[in-house]
Amino acid sequence: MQTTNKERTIQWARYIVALVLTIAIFGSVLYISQVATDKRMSEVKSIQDKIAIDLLSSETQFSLLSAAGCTQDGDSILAPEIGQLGDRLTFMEGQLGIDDPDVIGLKKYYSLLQIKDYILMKELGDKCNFKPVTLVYFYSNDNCSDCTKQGYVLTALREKYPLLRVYSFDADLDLSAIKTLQTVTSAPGTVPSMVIGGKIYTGFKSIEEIEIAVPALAKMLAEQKAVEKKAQTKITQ
Amino acid sequence: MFTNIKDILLYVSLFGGLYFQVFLLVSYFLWDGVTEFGEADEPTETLFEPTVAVMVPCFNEEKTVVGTVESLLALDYPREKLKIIVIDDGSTDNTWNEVQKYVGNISVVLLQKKNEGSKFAAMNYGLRYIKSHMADVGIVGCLDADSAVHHTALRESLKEFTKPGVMAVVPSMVIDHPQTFMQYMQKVEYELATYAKQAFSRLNTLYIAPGPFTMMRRQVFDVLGEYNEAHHVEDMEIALRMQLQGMRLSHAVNSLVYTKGPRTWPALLKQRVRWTFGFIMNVWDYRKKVFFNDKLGHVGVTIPILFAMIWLLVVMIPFMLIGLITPIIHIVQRISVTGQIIPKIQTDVFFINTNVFSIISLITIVIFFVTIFIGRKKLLRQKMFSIDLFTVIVYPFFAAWWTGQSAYNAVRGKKKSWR
Repeated sequence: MQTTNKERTIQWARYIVALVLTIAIFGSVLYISQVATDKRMSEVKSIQDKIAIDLLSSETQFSLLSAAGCTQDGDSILAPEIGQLGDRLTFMEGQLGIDDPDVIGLKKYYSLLQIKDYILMKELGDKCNFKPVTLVYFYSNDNCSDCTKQGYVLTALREKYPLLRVYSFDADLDLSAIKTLQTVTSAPGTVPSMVIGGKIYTGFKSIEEIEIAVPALAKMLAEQKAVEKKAQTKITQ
Repeated sequence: MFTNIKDILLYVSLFGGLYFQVFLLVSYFLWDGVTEFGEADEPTETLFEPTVAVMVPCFNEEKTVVGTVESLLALDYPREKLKIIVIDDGSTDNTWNEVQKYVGNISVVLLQKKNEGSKFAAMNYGLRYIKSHMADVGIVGCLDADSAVHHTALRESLKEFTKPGVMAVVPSMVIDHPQTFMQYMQKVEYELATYAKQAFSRLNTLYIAPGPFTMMRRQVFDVLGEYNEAHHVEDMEIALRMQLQGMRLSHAVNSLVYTKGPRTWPALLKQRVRWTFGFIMNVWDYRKKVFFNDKLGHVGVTIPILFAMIWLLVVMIPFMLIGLITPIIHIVQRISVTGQIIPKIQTDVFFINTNVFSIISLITIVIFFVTIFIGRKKLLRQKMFSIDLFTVIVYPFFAAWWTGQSAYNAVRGKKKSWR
């Protein structure tokens, strides 16, 4: 009968090996995650720098030529990467959190670039006599479920109308330029709110409501289709 | 502040969960084949063939009891050395009539008693019978009347007894012909449990002697006495008493027991709340003797770790629910406002999720699968891939439910007893 108490011991080596392995896994993951984040940050920064240079170049070109040449349409001049940058920043927000100081810094820079793009687009439209369809959107990440829904609508809208220029601004960002933009566009302080072609819309608006409010969108879609058709015929020829 | 507390809890629980998984893997793979006392942990060549008594306590098991007894009679073992003691625990159905067919069978003893509300009383009734009528019985076991054994289960179990110092042998449990989602989920869970049992066995920290077909040397009861009520998990409490006495429990991988498992969620919930509540209460009852008692070997460390993990899981439940509900709300919102069922998928590498929480969760899931495969393929020699593996996606939420409910009951119960 083996029921006696033999002196049992704990082999601490197993606990230590497991601890070292767990720390190694955790450490590697932290390192990989940090490297990936740094890489993303630098990618976003380089896109922003490119946009800044593009904008500056456009501004300079614009000043030099003044009203002399209205040969180019808005889209080829203004930075096309802005929309792409927006997607990236939204993703970074999801990864690092909305309170991350680096993300906030990038968002401020992004907001300023958007405002400059918006102004340039407007000036170009005035001088060259075309009316760009722009949508300025103010939102908040803080307890605003309508803003989340509006975000989905605008993403879908951008996919449907690639020529539509959507400028999104986080109204909670501590950036005086956003406040000034709200003032000059007469946007209310509430979120979500949108300024489309000078008209103000507050609260959640569905895709259908926006399409009805902005007849220019239908025209835009027709133009887009015509361009696509032209390209298609070229290919088939 | 809230975000910080949430993050700290998330990381602590992730680290704790990962550490425990790694620790079990280390214990499983870095096992050197010797006991904690340095003896080679091998079965001896000599055939161990004692007289074995298997108690079958049953309460209203008219549909399954015959199948259970038949599986025992089909065991590959000399008939004269096998005693099956059917204990009808005051059934109100046809159980007693069903077992009358075994009257006259030299291997079967039929006993009937008044129901006292818990299985332990029926088993003690059987133990007393063995003590007074069966002096030659060397090994005592039990088999729930909803389970059945493989015909080699006893031989495999007895082989394990020839390893140094083994006083009790626990079997591998398999869900028999699963039919419902809940049963498929339990099938995968039991395969994982087979691996865990093996890892615990190698550490000599088995802390449950499951009702279905755990075999014990008669001396266990001579030294420890009978089963206790033990918050309705007498099989755990007796294992803890064995560990405190320095008695070794071992896992016989090839001793297979087939059980049905609850078919529905309410039935499974009831069973698991009983088990988890019982675990919490028994560990609490024995905390002073067990926690970090180095004389108990690894038991003194693993039991408090398991106990802490239950509470960590309880704390995590609200976050798990938020994590489950938030994406569902977002998907519903997106579909309702855009009509797009599948969103545009970003293919750029930029959008690969490298959040620490996501990567560690992924690693945890991978280890989870590896351990299921060890149980399924290596130990139970089953097919590696099958559709039931998908049940692991929802398993944590069900487990969180019964753990939360058990913890709530335990805290409430404790308050009552303190008054």
